Amino acid sequence: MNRREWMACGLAAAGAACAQRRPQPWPRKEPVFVLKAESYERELAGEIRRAVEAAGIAVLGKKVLLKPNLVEFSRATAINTHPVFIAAVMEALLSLGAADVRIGEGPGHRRDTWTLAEEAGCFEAIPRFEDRFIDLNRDDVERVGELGEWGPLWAPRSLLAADLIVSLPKLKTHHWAGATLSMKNLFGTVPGSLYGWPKNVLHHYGIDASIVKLAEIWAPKTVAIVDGIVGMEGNGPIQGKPRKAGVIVAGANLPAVDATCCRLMGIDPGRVNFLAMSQHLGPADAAWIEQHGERPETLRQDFELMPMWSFLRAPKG
Amino acid sequence: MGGRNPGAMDLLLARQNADGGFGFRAGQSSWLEPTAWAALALYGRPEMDRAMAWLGPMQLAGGAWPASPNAQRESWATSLAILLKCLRGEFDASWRKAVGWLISGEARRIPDPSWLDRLLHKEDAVVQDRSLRGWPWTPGAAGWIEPTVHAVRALDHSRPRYGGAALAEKIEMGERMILDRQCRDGGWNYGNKRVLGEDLDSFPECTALGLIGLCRHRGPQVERGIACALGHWSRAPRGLAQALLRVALRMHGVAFADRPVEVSGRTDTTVLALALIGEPEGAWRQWKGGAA
Repeated sequence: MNRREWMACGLAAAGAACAQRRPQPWPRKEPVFVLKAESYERELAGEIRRAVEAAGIAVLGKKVLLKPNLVEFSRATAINTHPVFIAAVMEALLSLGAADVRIGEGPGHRRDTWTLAEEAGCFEAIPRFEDRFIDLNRDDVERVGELGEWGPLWAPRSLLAADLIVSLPKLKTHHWAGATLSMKNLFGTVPGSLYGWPKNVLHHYGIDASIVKLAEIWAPKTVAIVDGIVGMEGNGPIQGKPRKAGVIVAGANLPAVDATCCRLMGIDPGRVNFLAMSQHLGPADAAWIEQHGERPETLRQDFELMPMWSFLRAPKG
Repeated sequence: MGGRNPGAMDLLLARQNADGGFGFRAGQSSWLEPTAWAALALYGRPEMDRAMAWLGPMQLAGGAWPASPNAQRESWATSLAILLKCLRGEFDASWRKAVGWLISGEARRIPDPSWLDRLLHKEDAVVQDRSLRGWPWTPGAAGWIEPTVHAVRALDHSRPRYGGAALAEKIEMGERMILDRQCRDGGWNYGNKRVLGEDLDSFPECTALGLIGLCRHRGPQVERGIACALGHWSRAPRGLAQALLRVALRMHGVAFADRPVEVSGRTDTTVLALALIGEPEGAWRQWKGGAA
């Protein structure tokens, strides 16, 4: 770390310490399931089914929309939720009695969603992908909220029509937010046809504030299953390095899932701003999370953090 | 203007809604962007008149168009509506109001780094000439490549009738902004060439857009852009990237091994339309304007 980075890190840590909010009590313990999964080659659907059941996620008879993280495609790294993982979640939910499972995404940089999905391997890996996929950037819209001075927030109708949304993020660090997990993944629900590529109003409104705003809208009917088999560290969400973490994380409470993911990456969730700002939606404090499956501390791998985010590192032990 | 891709034309014609507009996909309600591209692809045909008849009354009181009847807010795609009105010779009060809105609709200036930022960081988090704002996707936001490209083309077509120094200055600013955002590899992405100390790669579709915005420019930067576009073309892009690269290369008079864009029932209407616009006899000439 050079002198500039050291100073930046020190100031960021001091700022974060000043801004840190005291963890609020939560009325109940939120179940989060952590599952070891070494590779995409193994039979994943059965394992995911077990995780979904253990996390208390009910899908019977529901119209489900899977929201993976498709950003850009590069063979050199691991940017997107793996298509084999998406297929396994779909199979698991159908086997648990979901009435219908669709897949929707609205990438923030690439204009041509279908070609991106093709490059990412979705057509090959996911049965009947063509029939199941909805380009959320170009869906019909309804007004669902406000973004302050930036005006109305419109959302794709397909999301409103779903009984259950399953956020399927990749386990990644993020250069503007610290980490990108189940809540940040909801940026892909904002229609590019109205807000552009990138969806710049979310940046102007504030990245953390936008993460919380979208979670407030969708959390009541959204659960999360995180692809942490191979994640991304460093300069995520696009230019970072792949990091084999070997985990799947599932839960019905988004902040609790994201906090658990942070612990798995060696990040203190109490120092992550969007988690501090979303305490009304769920707990980040381990005292209010009921961990099932593997214990996060035993599977912890310290993901590389950019110098500006090094203050997020959780102390060992 | 069916050209060498009659399949695309048939699919496009079948997409036209009863109201004259087009959705992004078959059966979807009409939106401004696919309707505008379809109208350009159908240039000179009666179906274009029907598309324009849907589009016209959608204009908002302030001069802009909304992206969709369900989202009544000023949209970046207003530039496409202005372009179409110019191509049809509709230099009326509606056009003048729209051009006035576009000229006044500059993007937000990103604040310069503070003294603390300069002390702590060797370079800005996002490297760009902040005085060249370009046009935003949504009013009041920062400027990006694609909305700037469409604004430049719309204003360039409006220039002979609208006149005035303000319009000319805006075109020049837009072109300089596009040049400023050129990536190290010679192409363009959505509008960030260097972030947090790392050079970002160009995208094929945005490289094409950058060249479309600079279709009246010549010079070393444009030559680098064309070389990058040909590099993207050699990697056999499909869909939107392929469609836009064909348009850009034709606008710049570059010889390339052409191949029609493969389309199917699920192809987005914008891609269908741009596939037709980029045909040898397609409406890319009208989009470029002047002596193509």
